Amino acid sequence: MGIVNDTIREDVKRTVYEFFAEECEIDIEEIHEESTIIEDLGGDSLMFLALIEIFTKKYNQNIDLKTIGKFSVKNPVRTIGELVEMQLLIIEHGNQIIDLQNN
Amino acid sequence: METAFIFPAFVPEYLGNEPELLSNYSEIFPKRLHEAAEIIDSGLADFDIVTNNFGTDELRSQLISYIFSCSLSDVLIQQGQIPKLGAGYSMGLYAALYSSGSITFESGLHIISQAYHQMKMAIGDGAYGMGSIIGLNHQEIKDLLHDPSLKIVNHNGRVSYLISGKKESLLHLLKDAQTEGALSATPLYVSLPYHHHMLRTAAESMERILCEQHGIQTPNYPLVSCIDGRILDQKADIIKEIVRNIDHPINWQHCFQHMLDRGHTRFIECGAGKSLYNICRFFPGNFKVYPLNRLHKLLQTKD
Repeated sequence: MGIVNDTIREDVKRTVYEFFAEECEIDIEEIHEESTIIEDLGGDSLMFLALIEIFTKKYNQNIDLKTIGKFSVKNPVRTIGELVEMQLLIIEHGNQIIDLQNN
Repeated sequence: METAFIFPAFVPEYLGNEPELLSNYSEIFPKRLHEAAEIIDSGLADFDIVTNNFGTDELRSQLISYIFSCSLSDVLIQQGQIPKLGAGYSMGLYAALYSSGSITFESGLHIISQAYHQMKMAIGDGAYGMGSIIGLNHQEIKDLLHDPSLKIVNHNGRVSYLISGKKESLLHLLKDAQTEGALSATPLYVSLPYHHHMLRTAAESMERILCEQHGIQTPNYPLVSCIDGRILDQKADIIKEIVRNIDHPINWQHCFQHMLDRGHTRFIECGAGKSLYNICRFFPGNFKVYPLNRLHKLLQTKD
């Protein structure tokens, strides 16, 4: 399990914002925590998958995609802020993220 | 750097600014739309990209996508972007054939319409459809296919697939896939089980129609088969590909890899939206895909 400090938190947030700014061709200043991924930014599940792969490589994680899928069914992500929080949980808990919903 | 044109299937959602982006280079799309309305369906002239008023009309959606792709291909070639290779994803094949000079614009409209009606006849009154599953691999999806009517028909990547079959079974499958841990499992807005072998009679009919009614020509540049990665550079190959594209599964990753293997590293997505750009980003290799909204970046470069 990883430790999430302020540096990692800032890195995840910056990466997510830059990713959507680039992919959706919008000014990064227009993206906020409350921006909805699908309605406001035109994002989709392939972008979500791409982000997971970016963080998996960056933080050298061996994460089972199905675990993230199962977690997100019970903890759906709608906004950029929620997406950042989910990525932080994945970095912190890895495959044990699935146990969080049982606590 | 060798350029290849890649053509998406019909586009369910538009960014909304495609005609504006295209009009930066040419006014060809409205002209083509008007031409198509006169040739095949007068209602096409009422197309509104902002509201996507044909979003639930499967045939018109296919025709609009074809018209847009053909227009963009024309513009690119006028701008000096000469493809050395091309490939059409699913129904994108028709625009690829137009671009390569293998069929005329008019023939493409008729072939799309005829194929659609033949497929409708082939399935009769049953309810069918397609669904997308992202996040599960091939074997994990196969393990969920309990109804033999369901088939994996599009391999878009390691964990990205489309499934065709009976609608009721398909909806059950999508629910099961979600429970199993798919990141996304959603139905597509189509009523036909595209690329499914149950469309065999439609494929056979289309073979007759193609030979009797349409003057298929040898392409000006080779295309790569989306079904098996073969190079299509002869008239007979093209006819066979149109027919097989109806009732055979496709493997886009395989097709794309064949283009990479032939040294192509620059791909232009000739269509609205950026569906192929989104799929191709997961493929290994050093290449770049330019969808319409990034075309200005390509046209600024010198090589």
